[in-house]
Parts: sequence; C-alpha cells; structure tokens
Amino acid sequence: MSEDFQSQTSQPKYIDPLEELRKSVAVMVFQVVSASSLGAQRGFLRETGESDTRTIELISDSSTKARQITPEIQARLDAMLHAACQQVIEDGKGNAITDQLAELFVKDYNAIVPVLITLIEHGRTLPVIKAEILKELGRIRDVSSHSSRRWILEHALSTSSPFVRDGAGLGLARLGDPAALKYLEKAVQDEPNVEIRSDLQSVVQELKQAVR
Amino acid sequence: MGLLLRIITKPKWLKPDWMDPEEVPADALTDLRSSQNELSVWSVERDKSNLDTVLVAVGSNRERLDKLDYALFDEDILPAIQIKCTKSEGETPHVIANKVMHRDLVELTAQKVAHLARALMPPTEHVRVSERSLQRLLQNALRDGSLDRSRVVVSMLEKLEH
Repeated sequence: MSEDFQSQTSQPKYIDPLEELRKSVAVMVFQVVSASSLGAQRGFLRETGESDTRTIELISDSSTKARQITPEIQARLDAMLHAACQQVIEDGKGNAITDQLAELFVKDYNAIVPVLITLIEHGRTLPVIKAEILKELGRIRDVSSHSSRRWILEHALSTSSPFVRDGAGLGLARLGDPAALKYLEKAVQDEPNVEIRSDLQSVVQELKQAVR
Repeated sequence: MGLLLRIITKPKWLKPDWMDPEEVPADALTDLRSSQNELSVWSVERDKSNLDTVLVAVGSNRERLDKLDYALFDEDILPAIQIKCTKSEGETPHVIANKVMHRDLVELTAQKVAHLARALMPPTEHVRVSERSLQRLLQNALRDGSLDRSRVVVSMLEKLEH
C-alpha cells in the first residue's frame, strides 16, 4: 500500500546516467556493491568533477575496503528496523533508529552505506522509517563518514517518496555542510510538491546563513 | 476566539494524486491520536503574539531536539463540527504556558476526529520550525528563566547548554 502511495504521490525523478555523462566535466565512476539486506546486486554510477573530490574518495574508499556487511551488523540493522517498525515515530522522540543507527554506522560505514542506499531507494520499509534514518544520518558526528552520509542524503533528494525527500532535506540541514547546497538548490528546482519545495528552500536559506 | 495549534508531521498531510480533493490522507490521522477521547492543543492569539511561547512549551517537552511541524487553525471551526474545547493544565517545562495556553479538545468520537482532520487540511496553515530555530528559542527561554529546568529531559538540557 505504502509503495503504491509512493509511486502515485509524485513523479519519479530518474536521472539518466547518459545525460549525466554528457554534462560531466570529469570522471564517471562505476561501483558495484553488494546490497546485502535484499540479497541484490546494485551498480552506482556517480558523476564527479569540480568540487566533488570527496565523492571520488568515498567511492574509491568503498570499493577497496570491506563491501560485505558482517552478519553481526546485519542482524543488528535488521533488529533496529524491525523495532522501529513497531514504534510510533514522532519528531523529538527517541526510537530504535535514533538510539542505534549512529553506533552501527560508525562501526563499519563502508559496509552499511550500500545497504542503506538500497533500503532507501527500493526497500519496502515505510517512508517514515526511511525519513527517520536520513534525519539521523545528519545528526551523527563522525568526520570519517561525513562524505558518505552527505552522499546518501544528496542521493535521497531525488527519491520518489515526498516523505523521504523531506527526510533527506532535514538530514542535510542537520549535517550543516554547505557543499550540499548545489544539490539542495537543484532539488528545490525539481521538487514537484509545493510544501516539500518550500521546506527544502528553507534548508537552503539556513545553510546559506550558516556560511555567512 | 483565537487560534489553536496542534503538532503534526507535515508530510503525512500531503495529498496523493489519486485522492479526491475532499479527502484526507489516512496517515494524517496518526497526528490526531486521542487519549481518553481528548486531544491536546494550544491556544494562540490571533496576532500570534504568544506563538513563540507555545513553541517553546511544546519543544521543551520532547526527548530530543528536532524540527517542529504544526497546524494552526481557527477555534471558530469547532462548533460546526461539534467539538468542545476546554482549558486544562499542560505538562511541559513552561509553567506559564501550561496554565494559560493549554487546551484539550474533549468528548471526541471517531467521526469528530475525521471532521477535525478535514478541517486541518490546507488551506489551514501548516508550518515548520527548523531544528536550529527551535534550538535558539529554547536556549533563549532557558536563559530568561521561562522554563522549569527540572522538567526538561537531561540530554536535551545538555544539548541546549553546549
């Protein structure tokens, strides 16, 4: 039901990789990662160039280090999601995600990033849970995983669910990284929903004020 | 009669394309979960002069700093949907707001809640206060002594004071 809802509430914002290639002034990096929670294989095509050197680092980092999530972390991630599904997720209230995600993520972010991307893009997890994950990714204070988290959040700005796009904006607001501004501004331009667009615009303004 | 504020989660109130214009998303009802057939709301002056006080009261009563979404609606709509509004004491760290501004919508039925949900749909104002803005409001309230610190969750207090 919720997946139907997602697909009908907004237009999917598919980014054509070939179009991206034409626009790119630098490198395209192809990364195949294992998306362990669904047992699927996924490929990620990522434009890099201009100020995107940190993205290159992230991808090369991910491609050379551990790609398989350990059974222990997978079990804890599954338990966290299961617990969150049983809870009422409300702003300002703790839940399994706010309690556990940071520790799990920092423990082995190279392995968790592809799992979270798959979950956010394709998982059958409720949008409210996905949004909570994105919000929490912005809250984690860990320099080594900063680029990875920013990348996930930027990526989630173009998902089909308005709830999830909203969560991505909130996560980026918390992350407070002005490097996300160009993605947020693009998201504002592309956002079909008036309410979400307005809230994303507020995030842009807040980040710009923080820069001044 | 003034305005009433109810905390919501804005994305739950977004209308999907398939939905009839007069309908309300079912998910929105989760923002109107009653307890003892009552719903907590806050009274806001028409000129919104006490809006920040209400936001501080609500925001300080949480476990964690977070953005705050709310719907602001006219109290005048209540008689038409047969909902009674009574003054009652709030339970937030803001003692004055608790005494003066807190209200309960009482004797609710499922049908009345559905009518209320319809009344809360746009063009009723849905507003977001960012986490950063709320943090500033709460920090100011702590500084000027508006909040009873003993009622603020310790982790929240630490976050606000650092």
